[in-house]
Amino acid sequence: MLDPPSRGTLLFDEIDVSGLSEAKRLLIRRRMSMVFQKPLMFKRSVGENVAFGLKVRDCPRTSMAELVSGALDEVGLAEYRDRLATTLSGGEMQRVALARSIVTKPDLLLLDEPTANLDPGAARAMEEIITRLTKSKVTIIMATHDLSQARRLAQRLALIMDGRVVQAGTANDLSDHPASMNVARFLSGEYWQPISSYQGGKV
Amino acid sequence: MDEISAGLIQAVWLIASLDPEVMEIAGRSLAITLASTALASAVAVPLGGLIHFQDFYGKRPLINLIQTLYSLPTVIVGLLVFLFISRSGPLGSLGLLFTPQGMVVGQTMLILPIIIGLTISALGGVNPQIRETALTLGATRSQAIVAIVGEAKPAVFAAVLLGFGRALSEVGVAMMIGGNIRGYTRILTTAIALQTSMGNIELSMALGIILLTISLAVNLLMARLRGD
Repeated sequence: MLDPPSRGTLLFDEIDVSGLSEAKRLLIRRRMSMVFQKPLMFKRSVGENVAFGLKVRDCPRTSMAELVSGALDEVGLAEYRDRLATTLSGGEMQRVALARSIVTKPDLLLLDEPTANLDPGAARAMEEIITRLTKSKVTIIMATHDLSQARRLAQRLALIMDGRVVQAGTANDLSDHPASMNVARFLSGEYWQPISSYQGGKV
Repeated sequence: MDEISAGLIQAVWLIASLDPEVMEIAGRSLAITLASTALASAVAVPLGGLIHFQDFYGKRPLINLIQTLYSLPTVIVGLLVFLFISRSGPLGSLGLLFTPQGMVVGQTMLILPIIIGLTISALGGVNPQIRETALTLGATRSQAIVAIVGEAKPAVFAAVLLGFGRALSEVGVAMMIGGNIRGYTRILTTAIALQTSMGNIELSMALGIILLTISLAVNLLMARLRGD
């Protein structure tokens, strides 16, 4: 959505977004948000970081405070609101990044290896939050290298090898009926390649 | 060493007794420098932003030129501004020569390159991912720029402070454009130059200490405003 696709089309809700005007793209961009592998905090308080997406959408101040508290509660960092975000630990920053992304109630949440840089404890906390989020309306697309994590979290998996989706389906589909020798090898641990997992519905 | 301690004692005395002439000179120094810093910042910070965010032919050489001008000798600025505002110069009709307003113009010219250049550096120092982060959180392109500027705020603040320091401490422009007229364009630095040449070392020391005290006070105030 930030860069035009080099090939093919990009569909969101069955709309081809690649040819849209900047204004229309913005409207669609504002229905999604993303958490990067290494989250970058604005040099402001945790609360202001979480409020960023609301501010750029001209959200009224009164409801902003409430939404920010709600999002921070969701990731278990309510008491961190006034801390300087750049002083937090990696795991805490990642949770703030998640709160910052869900505070605007997006339809689609993109997670790019959100636990890759975290210690096991922080990764688990993150997974628990993501699991809770899957119960809400939001559709999550998460990229991960961790096969067992993908199995734990995802309703649907899409295995990407050499830049192509080689097989998509539930975790059981993939392990019971691997589409190729390579898929089977990968799932048995002989191959180590990126894998994406889909959660929720239509994208 | 005697002169330093005697100067210190006299400085304390001059400040404590609120010596009218010293207060007036110090006040004028501060007023002229604050005016030129404000004027220069109002032009230089947006201009620095424009240069940073635009891609154009000759951008790199322009930045190199601006950085070279950091070390522009104050007497050269004094000379150039003098040429423009002296009676026969293109701006001679404005009557700025030997006035505090003329000094503000000269000091502004002097510190413009510093504030422009350091603003560009400040913005360049912001993690480029800030822009992407802002965009993925729903910012428009211009809101993303505002976010980048927000991240650079402390460094831009430092740029302005450095400009202020250079303007406060310079002698060349003040002497050549202001003319060191008692009660009108005399400021701390030109007063120090004059008193030293007259052999009043202790008074010069005292004025020097006052100059540094003002600088310290402004720095502390700025740091407070910034929330350090």
